[in-house]
Amino acid sequence: MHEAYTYQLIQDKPPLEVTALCSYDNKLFVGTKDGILLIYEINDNDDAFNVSLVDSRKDFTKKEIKELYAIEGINILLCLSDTQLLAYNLETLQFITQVAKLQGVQYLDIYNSVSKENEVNLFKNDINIENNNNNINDNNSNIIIKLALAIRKKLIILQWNQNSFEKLNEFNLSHTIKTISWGKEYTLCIGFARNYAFIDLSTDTIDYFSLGNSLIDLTSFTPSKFTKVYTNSLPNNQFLLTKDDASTYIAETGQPLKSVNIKWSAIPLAVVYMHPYFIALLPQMVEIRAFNSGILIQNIELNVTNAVVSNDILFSSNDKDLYTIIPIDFDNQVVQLLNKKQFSESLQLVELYSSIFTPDEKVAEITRIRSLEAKYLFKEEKDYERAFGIFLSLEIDPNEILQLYPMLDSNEEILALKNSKNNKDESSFDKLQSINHLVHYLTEQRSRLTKQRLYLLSIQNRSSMPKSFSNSTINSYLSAAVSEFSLSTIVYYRQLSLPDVEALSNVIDTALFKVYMIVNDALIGPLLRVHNNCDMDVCESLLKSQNKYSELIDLYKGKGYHKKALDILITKGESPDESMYGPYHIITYLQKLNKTDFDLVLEYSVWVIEHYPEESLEIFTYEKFSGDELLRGIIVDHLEKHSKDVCIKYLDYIINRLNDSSSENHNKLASYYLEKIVSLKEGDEERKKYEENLKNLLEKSTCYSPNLILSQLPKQSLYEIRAVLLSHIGEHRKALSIYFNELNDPKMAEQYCIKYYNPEDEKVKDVFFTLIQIHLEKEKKEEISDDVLELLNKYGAYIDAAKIMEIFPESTKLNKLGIYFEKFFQELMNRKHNQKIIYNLLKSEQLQVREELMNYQSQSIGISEERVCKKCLKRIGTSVFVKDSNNSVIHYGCMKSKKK
Amino acid sequence: MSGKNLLKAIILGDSGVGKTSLMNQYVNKKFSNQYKATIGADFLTKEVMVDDKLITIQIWDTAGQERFQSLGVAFYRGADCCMLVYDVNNMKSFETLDNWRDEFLVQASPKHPESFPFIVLGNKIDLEESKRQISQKRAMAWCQSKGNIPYFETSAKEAINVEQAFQQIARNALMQEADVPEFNFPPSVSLDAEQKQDQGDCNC
Ligand SMILES: Nc1nc2c(ncn2[C@@H]2O[C@H](COP(=O)(O)OP(=O)(O)OP(=O)(O)O)[C@@H](O)[C@H]2O)c(=O)[nH]1
Ligand SMILES: [Mg+2]
Repeated sequence: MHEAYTYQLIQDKPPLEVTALCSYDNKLFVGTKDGILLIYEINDNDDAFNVSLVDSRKDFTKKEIKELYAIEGINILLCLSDTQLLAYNLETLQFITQVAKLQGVQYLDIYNSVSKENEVNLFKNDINIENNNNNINDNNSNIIIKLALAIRKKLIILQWNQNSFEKLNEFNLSHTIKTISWGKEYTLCIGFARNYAFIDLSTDTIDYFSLGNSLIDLTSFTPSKFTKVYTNSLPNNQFLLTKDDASTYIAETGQPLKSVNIKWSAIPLAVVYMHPYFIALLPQMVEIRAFNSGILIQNIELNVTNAVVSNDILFSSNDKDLYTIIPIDFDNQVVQLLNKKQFSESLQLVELYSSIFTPDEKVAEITRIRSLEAKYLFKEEKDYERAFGIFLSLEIDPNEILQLYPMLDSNEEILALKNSKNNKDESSFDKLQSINHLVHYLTEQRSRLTKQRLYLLSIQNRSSMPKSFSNSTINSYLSAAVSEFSLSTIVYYRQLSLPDVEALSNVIDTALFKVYMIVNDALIGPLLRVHNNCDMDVCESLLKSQNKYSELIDLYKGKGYHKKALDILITKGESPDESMYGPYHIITYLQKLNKTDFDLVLEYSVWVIEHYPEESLEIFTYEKFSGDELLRGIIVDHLEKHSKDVCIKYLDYIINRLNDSSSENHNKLASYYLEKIVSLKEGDEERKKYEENLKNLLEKSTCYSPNLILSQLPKQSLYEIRAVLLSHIGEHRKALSIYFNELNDPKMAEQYCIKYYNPEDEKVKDVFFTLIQIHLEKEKKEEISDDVLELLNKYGAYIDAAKIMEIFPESTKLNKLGIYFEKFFQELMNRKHNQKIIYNLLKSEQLQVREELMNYQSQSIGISEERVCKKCLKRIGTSVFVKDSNNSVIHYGCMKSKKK
Repeated sequence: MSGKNLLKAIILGDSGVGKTSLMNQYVNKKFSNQYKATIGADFLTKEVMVDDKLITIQIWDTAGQERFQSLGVAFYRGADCCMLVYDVNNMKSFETLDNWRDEFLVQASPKHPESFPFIVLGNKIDLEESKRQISQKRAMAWCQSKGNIPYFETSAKEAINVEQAFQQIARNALMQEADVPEFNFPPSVSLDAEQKQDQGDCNC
């Protein structure tokens, strides 16, 4: 219950018994039992409302004024004086005539097309009313005014025509008429003592409705009152039928509608409809109920018997006094309810006043009330579950909800709360509980914002989307976005632009950060690592105060403050009692940096190189960096500056693992190996290892320049390396002589020959010859030594006899060379045989091919006039054709198209 | 052990790694070579026996493509366990595991993030070894670093390890203490007790 109306006594009233009321424009006409008419003026301006007596007509009529009707448009005031219907000029109040000279009129009702339209349009909107006013002036002649008069059982219908009322129709009804009410222009509702009737004037049909038979719960009705209800809130013109203390709606056709049944506190003397309420004049009080539900809204203790509505004000009287009953506007009513925390009643009120809102306004009003309710639940009832249930169902600015958490504005309070988790004091327990609910709210807002962001981006990109995008891709893309948005009732988010989204997301994410800090700090890391808009300064200071360095690094990384992150990583990497001690955290961080930030990688790798040379390699061998050949050069230069050792390892890695083929890198690696070797003492294990590496490199690689390395070789050592290099530039003779003369290792020389010998290659086909030659030169003996002989015997097959004979010492005994010659000639014979076999094989193959050719050439088919293509069944004629294995023919063209 | 007998499992991972295929293999014993992007989310249920207990597992398959993701937070919040899937032949799908895990944690905001039951599946191991980009060792190292997440190498196509992986996640989810609302009892019921329990559960 709340106040929907107030009332006011109209002061200056003479002591006369009021029997009728009527209003027109700003005038209120009051008729009395003695036939006197009082004229009041209504002043309803912004600051005051008052009604004052301005005139009176003592000689208005001689008998009791039972009813008064002001008829706009035709400037007539009708007065039911006792049982006569009198017409007066509405302005001058001069008597004009007695309408239709009728006697015995007991009841009447007026149909006025102008006022009716006004009534209807009242609830639409203001513009329409203005239009209507124009209509009134323009189409005076179109005004339709009809009167329905009751004289006992007789019903008489009159219509205004030019300047008088003319009789349209007359009905004799079954019972004495008790009340009349116009519906639309052609419908009338007539009440009798025990039943009622609906009359359709367009067809002159009368439908009687017997209350007793059709509806059991209406048995006791005798229709004493009909209240007209005109509203666009209801689909049709309906009546409110009131009998005794109950009212129900009646449809235009006369059928009772049981949707709303009102049970009044007492039997009403009259019921007035003033959207959106019914006002019943009960003995001793005025009762106000909602028109859509019949719910009791207000009781005013006022004893009145008569009422008339004018300009949204109800004038009412009893035999002594005159009152105005003034509606209280919606805002004021809702405030009353909200002050009493009657939220569901407030929502009902919005529903009741639906017609004054646009759909958006209505949603906004409901949202406002719901959020007030939620805030009340939150603050007063501490029912966070329900409060957030409402918050989540609404689309309100999240800032409003964050205002409920002032503690999040101060770092001190945040930390105090964080540390209060173990306390048992009630206030912090309560705060923690409310904060716990906030987690879910904020994460939900995050996801709503993400959707809105995605949606905005998709709109933005739609124009710039490449043509090559298939339609179905676009459609699925859009339908995903659209269906998403039609599903939700997002109102608040829908109106956010991209910058709004970013700004709000900053608020939400920062709040979520703080909340995590208090209730669940294990989630700070994940939050800072996913796409987020957390505020840098806020997070930085809170994390620092809690020594949360790993999260601080996540923060910096997300915001692109890599230097800050790396500085911390170095500090932490240096302190043995930190969890981030050592090189690995910084290495991982550097590995995750983009190539565009490679300068940073270089800068911060220095610390790792210096302290953890072994591990530092992992930074540079990381695929992202080393996969890029441009970066390799930069890395090598960088490592050269800071650590030759790491540089060597790196070069080794890219050459041997990634098959780098830049000669510069190969030369560098060889040179560095050399440098290392030279710097170490002979016999040193490490030196040996480097020599081995160098030798492997030089043997396998083809990318270095041997001359360059040769020039760097120390004069009197590393003969083996030198030999490898010489072999690379084709100086096999020199290489062999090193093995012989410097290294004194004929076995190695022999191996060398085995390795390089190749009969097809001009340069190396004589290596064994060269080997013998060097042997002989060294021995300088008359006789060939056993060593040479052994070589000859072993490799004789690969040594040209003609050449070798020339270098043998003159005194060489031929019998010693027996085995050699045998071998050599055997080899020659071998080769000869091989050639012969190959020759014969080729020859027989040639014969085979020739036979096949002859075979083909011997086949023929005749193309006659009748010969047709197997496919198109047309003649072959002189066209090119193809024959298949079944001897059928087909056009060449047909065959090709067949293949397709 | 909780008395729960309905488990909600969420499958996350890049588009095309085989989330839908894994679910289909597990529930319907079917596999298709055709790729049809999942839009939004879809779920299937299956009953499993875990240690003599009949459990209904509700498996939510999600969209890997960002533009098809439309799940609200409420969806994640009720999850009992989360499967992270990558394709062993696709480096990027492995590198984004971190992000999927973090995103899940933020959205679901579980009470005990460190011990929330995750499981990692390296899928498509049926393809040639030469295509493989992430070694088992590397994947296991990652799982280790995230608090010993169980790891399975699977093939939805050949039905390798699929059954086992789902069995494991069901078991782990059951082991997890039911997500009791932390503050829903008066302060006199000591918070300390809960605190200690926290630490007991924690894997770190
Ligand atoms: N060889 C092989 N192919 C697989 C396997 N699992 C899935 N695929 C194929 O990979 C493609 C993508 O599989 P989906 O299951 O649709 O991938 P998804 O992760 O659900 O993708 P989204 O719905 O876009 O997130 C399909 O063509 C599957 O046939 C597997 O184990 N082995
Ligand atoms: Mg899918």
